[in-house]
Amino acid sequence: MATNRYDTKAELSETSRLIRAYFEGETTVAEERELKRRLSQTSLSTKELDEARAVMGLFAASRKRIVRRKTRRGLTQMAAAVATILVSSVVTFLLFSNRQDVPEYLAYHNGVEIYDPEAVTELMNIQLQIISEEDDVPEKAALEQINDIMAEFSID
Amino acid sequence: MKSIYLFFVLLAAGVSTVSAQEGLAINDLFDGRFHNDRQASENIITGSRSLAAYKLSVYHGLTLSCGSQHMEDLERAVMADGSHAIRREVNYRDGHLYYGFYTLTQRNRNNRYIFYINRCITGGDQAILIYLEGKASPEQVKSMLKK
Repeated sequence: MATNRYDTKAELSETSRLIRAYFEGETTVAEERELKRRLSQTSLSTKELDEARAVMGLFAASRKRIVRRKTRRGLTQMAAAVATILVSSVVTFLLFSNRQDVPEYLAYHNGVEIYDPEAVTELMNIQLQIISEEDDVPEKAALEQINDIMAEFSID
Repeated sequence: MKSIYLFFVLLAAGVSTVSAQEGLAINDLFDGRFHNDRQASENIITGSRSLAAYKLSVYHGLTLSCGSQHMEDLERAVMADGSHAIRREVNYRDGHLYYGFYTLTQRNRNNRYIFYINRCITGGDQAILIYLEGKASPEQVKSMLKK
């Protein structure tokens, strides 16, 4: 049986809503005042109401802890985002910078580094020619053919 | 916030696949060991006009003479990568890989191929490995190789 206005079902429902909002740190100052008044004036005793009464008595310290936790969580997320960006940037830089070092035409023959586009392309053509030949033994060895071509380009 | 994390993770993953040969066993052979080898010849052409006609962006060829000490490494690497190919045409002779044409999984929307022939088995004097990358289809690549 209700003994005061805050003991009705509707009012209890509102009190519960305020308690939930309070523990989630989402109440305004006015709502906290309202909640305190409701808890002090209702004679009902439930686990939820008793817990809220106990906490409200330590209101100032609890609220500071909640705010500090939220701030810490926000800082952790920000730090993780910055770290991800930094790592990705470093990885991108390292991989792209290495890739840019490879010249468009490059060959190695008899210990000589070759950058001449025509010579390197001719090497490719020789390989393709050898591949397309019949299965017979060619007149000249592959590397001998390459040597001939390199001689034309004056490459030792 | 989660979408930002995801974006940068994908970015890192994406750039890590820029060098498409990486992750392949044949990439170990392109570590510079043949640069001073008189029994080998290696050539690399990337993104050039020479390859545009073939719809390719990377050509990496290696020719080894039969006396090379790396012949077994070559065959082993080709077969290792070939085991993961999505399409393969192979020919064995005397228990060794004589011919192999492999279509590998795509990387960065580029097709990748390995071509291998070992003429040493049939009396020839060289083995050739070619790695190709680009938009060309397998049929176009084979057409280029057989010209």
